Amino acid sequence: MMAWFRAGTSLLMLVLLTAGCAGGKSYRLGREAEQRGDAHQAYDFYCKAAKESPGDGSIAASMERIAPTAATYWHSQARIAGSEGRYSDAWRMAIRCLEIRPNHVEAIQFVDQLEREHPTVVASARQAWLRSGSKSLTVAKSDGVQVASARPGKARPKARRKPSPNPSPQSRSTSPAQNRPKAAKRTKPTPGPRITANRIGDPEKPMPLPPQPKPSPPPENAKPTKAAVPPNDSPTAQKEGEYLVVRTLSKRDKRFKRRMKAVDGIFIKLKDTEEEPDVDLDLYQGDRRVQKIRNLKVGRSKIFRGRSGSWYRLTVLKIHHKSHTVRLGIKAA
Amino acid sequence: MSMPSCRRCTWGPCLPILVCLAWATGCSDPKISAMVFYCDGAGWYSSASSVKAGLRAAGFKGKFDTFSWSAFLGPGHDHLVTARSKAVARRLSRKIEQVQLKDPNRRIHVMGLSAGTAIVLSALEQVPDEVHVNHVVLFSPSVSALRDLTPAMQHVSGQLYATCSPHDGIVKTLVINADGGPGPPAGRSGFRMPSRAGEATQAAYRRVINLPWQPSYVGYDWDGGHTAVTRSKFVKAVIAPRILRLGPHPLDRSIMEQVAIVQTGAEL
Repeated sequence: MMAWFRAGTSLLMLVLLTAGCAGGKSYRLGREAEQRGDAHQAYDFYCKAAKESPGDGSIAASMERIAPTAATYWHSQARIAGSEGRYSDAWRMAIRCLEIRPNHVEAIQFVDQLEREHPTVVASARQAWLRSGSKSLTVAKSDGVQVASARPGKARPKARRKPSPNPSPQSRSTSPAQNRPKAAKRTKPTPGPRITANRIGDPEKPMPLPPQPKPSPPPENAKPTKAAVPPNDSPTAQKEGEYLVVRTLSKRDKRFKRRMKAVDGIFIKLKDTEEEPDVDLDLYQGDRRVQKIRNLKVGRSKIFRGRSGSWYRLTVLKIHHKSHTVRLGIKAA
Repeated sequence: MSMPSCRRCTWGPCLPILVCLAWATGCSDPKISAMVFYCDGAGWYSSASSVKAGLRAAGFKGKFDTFSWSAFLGPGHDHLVTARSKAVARRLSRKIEQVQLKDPNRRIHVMGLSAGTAIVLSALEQVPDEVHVNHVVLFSPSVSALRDLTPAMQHVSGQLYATCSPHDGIVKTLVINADGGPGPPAGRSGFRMPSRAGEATQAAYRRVINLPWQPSYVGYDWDGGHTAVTRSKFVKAVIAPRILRLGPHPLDRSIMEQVAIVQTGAEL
């Protein structure tokens, strides 16, 4: 009798455990991504978990917690794409931000601005977006969920593609017959738009990818302190002409300050550099820290807002980890 | 010599009046002059407060009026009998008409939940030709998905938003729609374009937008449930930005746009 009771209890516990873990794997992956600081990836995993078990309160709480950061990520990526002239990508990224936070006022204004200033580019992007989204809206089938990469560590490299000479969806044929096979081969790295359909959080909508990193500057020279500041005729120096301000910050090299005024009332403080190499920065408005930037690699950018409300783009030009020195370029976004 | 003193006499008292007039007319917030009529669901009389709270949190400062249409004989009676009553809907249409006659510039939004959406649509069909509302929001509509919205949309100057969810346990089990129409309820998979749609219908459905449940809405407290759609967080984040805006929201995809994409045979 006792044996039957024990077996029954074990079975019941197993059933409860299994039921409680609906969406468990996605939720766990989301937690891992959140701990890594990849809010946008974490949000996508939470969305997948929410699709599997919509009534789970912990998933809802996680999504609510992470949504502002994930939306800010896509908004900043949209601003960067816009400043690089990739208006189609910018529109999609801003839309992705709105899908996460439909009341994101700045993203709405940015979309309005893009639609006003670049109507033809945005119209084609919108058409592509509508095509990818019409499935579940008109037919309302429950669609399958695919994850770009089950392992969060591998998600990024998989998603990245080689820079395309024509990244705009305009390069796509509008003919349905030509579109069909292209869409079927979506997962293959064909040269074309860098934006792929998102099948993680919101299966019917396209998910834009972050912009490609710029080609890294030439490797460091042997002398650490001199290498941190390239000579004026070097390719990096020539590139620096496009920036409003170029600043060199260092923790160990006495020639450079650790904290410097950047632009529009914003100060940059070098927190640390890593061997990878990447850099951690803090942005201050007076004594108040307004933004944390972590693990920013060479060629990657982040946007920030000045005191006047204007947007600026900060790009890492060079990192010399030995001397904990970093060179940053800032321009209007 | 007497001119300056006379001028002072005339303009002196006028100045404060002019300032008051300018303040009253020029500085009025457009959100203040808006009005929302809300029809609760059948036998469910508590969703109005969360909808109101969501709108208020998003910055809506207008008047929120809950239209009581229930016969208080239970949800079954409300759903099967009262929701179809033309007389009850006429009461709402008269209210809308009165508000618009009083202030033609006032923005009017009409919202309803479940069977309350049948009252909303029926009322819009009954308002006089010159009366228009700005936006309509139908939460989990239990009216037929095949219902022709053209007559109602004649009186809507903005968009009609209808939420739908495959996780809605109530519309899933509905046998009879609140308006008595055939087909599945719109709260399950959204409204559908009528077959053989004329130009007027096509124009109307360019402004009809289904808002299907998405996993991202879980973060705003809507888990796909029938009444959870009226939670204040969802209303604040998803509904309010749409109705407080003058033009369509960037995420809006009308039924007509969807149909056009399907008709062109685009890749799905």
